[in-house]
Amino acid sequence: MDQPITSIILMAMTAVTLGTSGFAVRGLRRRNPPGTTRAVTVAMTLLVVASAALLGARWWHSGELSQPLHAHVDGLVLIAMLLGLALVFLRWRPRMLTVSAFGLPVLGFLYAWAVCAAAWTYKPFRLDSLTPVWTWLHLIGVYVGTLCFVIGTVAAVAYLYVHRRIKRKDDPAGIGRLPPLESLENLVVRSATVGFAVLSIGLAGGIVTISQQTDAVQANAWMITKYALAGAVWLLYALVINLRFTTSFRGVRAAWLSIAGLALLVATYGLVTALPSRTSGLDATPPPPITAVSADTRDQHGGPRCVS
Amino acid sequence: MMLGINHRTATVELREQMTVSDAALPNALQALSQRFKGCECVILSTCNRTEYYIARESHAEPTAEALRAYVAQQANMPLETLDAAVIVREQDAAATHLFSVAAGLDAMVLGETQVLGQVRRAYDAAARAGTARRVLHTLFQQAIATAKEIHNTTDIGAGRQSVGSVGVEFIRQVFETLHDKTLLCIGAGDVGKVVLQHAMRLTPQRVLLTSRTTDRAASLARQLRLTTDRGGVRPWESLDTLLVEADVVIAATGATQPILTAAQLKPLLRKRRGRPLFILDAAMPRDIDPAVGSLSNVYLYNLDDLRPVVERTLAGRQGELDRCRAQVRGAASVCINQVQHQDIGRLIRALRTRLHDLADDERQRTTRKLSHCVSAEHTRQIEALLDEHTRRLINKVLHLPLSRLDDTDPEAPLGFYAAALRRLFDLDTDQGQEHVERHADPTDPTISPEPGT
Repeated sequence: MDQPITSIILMAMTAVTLGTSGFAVRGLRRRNPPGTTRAVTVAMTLLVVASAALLGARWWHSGELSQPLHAHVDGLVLIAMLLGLALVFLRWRPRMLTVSAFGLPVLGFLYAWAVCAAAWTYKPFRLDSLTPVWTWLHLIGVYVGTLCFVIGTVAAVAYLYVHRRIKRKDDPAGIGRLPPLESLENLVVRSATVGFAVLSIGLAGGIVTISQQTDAVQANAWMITKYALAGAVWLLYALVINLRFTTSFRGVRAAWLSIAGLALLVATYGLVTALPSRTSGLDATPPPPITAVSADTRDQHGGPRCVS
Repeated sequence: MMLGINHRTATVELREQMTVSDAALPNALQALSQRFKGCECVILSTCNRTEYYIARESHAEPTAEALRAYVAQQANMPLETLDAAVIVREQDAAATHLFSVAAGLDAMVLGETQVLGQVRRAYDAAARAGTARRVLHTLFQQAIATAKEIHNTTDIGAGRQSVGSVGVEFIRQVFETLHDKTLLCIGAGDVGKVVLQHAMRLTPQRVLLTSRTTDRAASLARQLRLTTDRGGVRPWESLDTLLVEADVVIAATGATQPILTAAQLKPLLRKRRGRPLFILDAAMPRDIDPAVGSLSNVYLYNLDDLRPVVERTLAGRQGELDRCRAQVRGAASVCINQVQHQDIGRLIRALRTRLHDLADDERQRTTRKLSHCVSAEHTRQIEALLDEHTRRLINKVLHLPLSRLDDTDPEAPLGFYAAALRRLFDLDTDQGQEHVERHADPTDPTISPEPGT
C-alpha cells in the first residue's frame, strides 16, 4: 500500500481518536452519561477494526505474506490496535470504564506517530539478511512489551489522577465512577510484569541476532546509545516489578516509575531513529525496536534501509 | 430559643471546643438551669453540632446575649470567636430548626437517622436532669414523632443515610474489595458501631475491635456477631500491631486528644511495606492528627471531608427536600401553637382561679356579715345569688381580654400577653393548675378541656 494513502488513513484515525478522547473526557466530567459512553465505545471499536483492516491491507499489498510487519509504521499500528482492544476490554470491566479517558490520548499519540513514520521517516525493515525466528522474536517481543508498558502507563496516569482526587478529598462520585486505586496499581504492576517478561524475550532475540553479525558490528553495537537505553529501560522495569515489595516503591512512586519507563522507551525509539547510522552504530539488528541501519544495506539511492 | 453552632457555621476546631460529652452533659444541664433559674433547657451535642434549646417566659432570662456570654465562658473561648459562628433562633424558627435537625434535614448527610437517636438521648438526659419540662417535653416529643413520620413516608433518607454509608464509598475509592483486607475499629461507641455496620457490608476478611474499655468492645463484638476466626476484640495495648495489620481503620473513640499522630504512625508504615491505609476518623473531637493524612499511602478522612458528598446528595434530593421542609414547617408551627395554647390555657385557668379565690374570700366575708341580719335559709339563698353574681361578673370582666388571646388571630402577640398577665396578676401557672378543677366552669367557652387541640 502506498505510504501517502496510509498517511491519510492514519491522519483520519488520529482525528477520530482525538475527537473520541474529547468525548471520553467530557463523559468523565459529566459522570458518564449513557449516550456518551455508548458513542465512545462504538468509536473505539471502529478504530480497532480500522487499525486491523489497515494492517491487513498493508500486509496484503506487500506481497510477502510471511512478513506482516514491513516497517515501523506497521509496528505502531499494531500497538495502537492492541491498545485500542485493551481499552475496549477495560471498558467492560467493573469500575474501569473511565480508564479509556486516559488511554485515548495515548492512542491518538500512537496514530500521530504512525503518521510521521509513514509520511516522513518511513524506513522498511530489511529482514532478508537476518535469522527470521530470532528477528521475529525480537520484533514481537519489543512491540508487545511496549504495548504492555503503554497500558501500564495509562493505568499509572489514572492512578495519579485518582490518588490526587482522594488526597484532595473530592467526592468519589463527583466526576464519573473512577476505578479504585488498588485496581489501578494492580494493572500497573501486571502490565509491567508481563511487559518486562516479553521485552526480556525481545531483547534476548535481539542479542542472538546481533551475535550472528560480524565482529565489527558487534563491537560497535554494544557501545551505542540504543543498547544503553534499552538496558536502562529493562533495568527500570525490573525495579518497578521487584521493588514493589519494598516499603518505598509502591503506589505513587511505582506509578511515576512506570511513566518514566515508557518515556525512556519512547526516547530510545526516538534517538535510534534520529541518530545517524554511523554515529549510532545501528548497523545491525539491535534489541529494542526499529531503525537499525546497516552500512551494507543501503538502498539503490544511497539512503539507509531499516533492518529492524 | 435555640443557640448553637453546627457544621455549616463552625470549623471542626470550634466544634471540638464546644462539644459537651455524654459524661459532662448532666452537670452542664444543671449548671445552666442554676445560672438561669426557671428556664427549661436541653443541650444537643453531636459530632456536627452543639445547640442549646431554651424555653423561658417572654422577656425572662436568659436573653440571647446572656446565653451567648454563658456558652462562651463554658467553652472557654472569646465571645467574638463564638459570635462569628453562632446562630440564634427564636419562637417558630427555633422549633422549625429542631424539627429539621431531628429529621436529618440539617445534618451533614441529608436524611440521616443517626441524629434522631442523638436528639432523643439529649432530650432524655434533660428529662432525667429535670431541665426539660412542659414546653420542651412537647417540643422534643413532637420533633421526634415528626422525624419518624418523615423517614417513614419520604425517600429523604434513602441511599447514603449516615456517615457510615458515605465512609464506605470512600473506602471503595481506595480498595477494589475488602475480601482480603483487615478492618480495625478503634472505639466501641455508637458512632463506631454505625460506621462498622456499613463497612461490614463490604465483607472484610477480618474485623478487629479495640477500645480502652474492653467490655464495651466485647459487647459490640457480640452485637455484630464477630467470630474469633473473623477477628474479634484486641487489647488496647496492641494498637501499634493492629495498625500494622489493618487496611481500613475506623476511629470513633470519645477521647478528647488525638490517639494517633503522624510521628506515631510513621515508623509503623515501614512495617506495613507500603500497603495503603485508609483511616476514617468519625470521632468528634478528632481521634487522628490531621498531619497523618499527609503521610505516603495513608488516606485520612474526617467528618468535614464528607461535606462534598453531602452536597451532591442534597442536590439530588432537592425536590424531596422541599417537600420535607414544608412538612417540618407545618409540624413545627402546629407544635408551637400547641405549646402556646397549653400555656394560655393554663394561664386562663390560673387567672380564673386567682379571681375566684378573691371572690370566694369576699363572698364569705359578705355572708358572715349577712348571717347576723337574716335567717339561715335566706343566707343560703343569698349565698347562691352572690355566687352566681360573682361568676357572671368574673366571666364578663374576663371575656374581652381572653378573647384577645384567641388563637384565630395569627398576628396576636400571645407570648407578650401571657407574660404581661403573669406579671400583672403575679400568676404562677404551676400552682394554678392544682386548683383548676375546683373553679373550672363547664359552661365557660373560653376554657377547653384540652387547650390548643
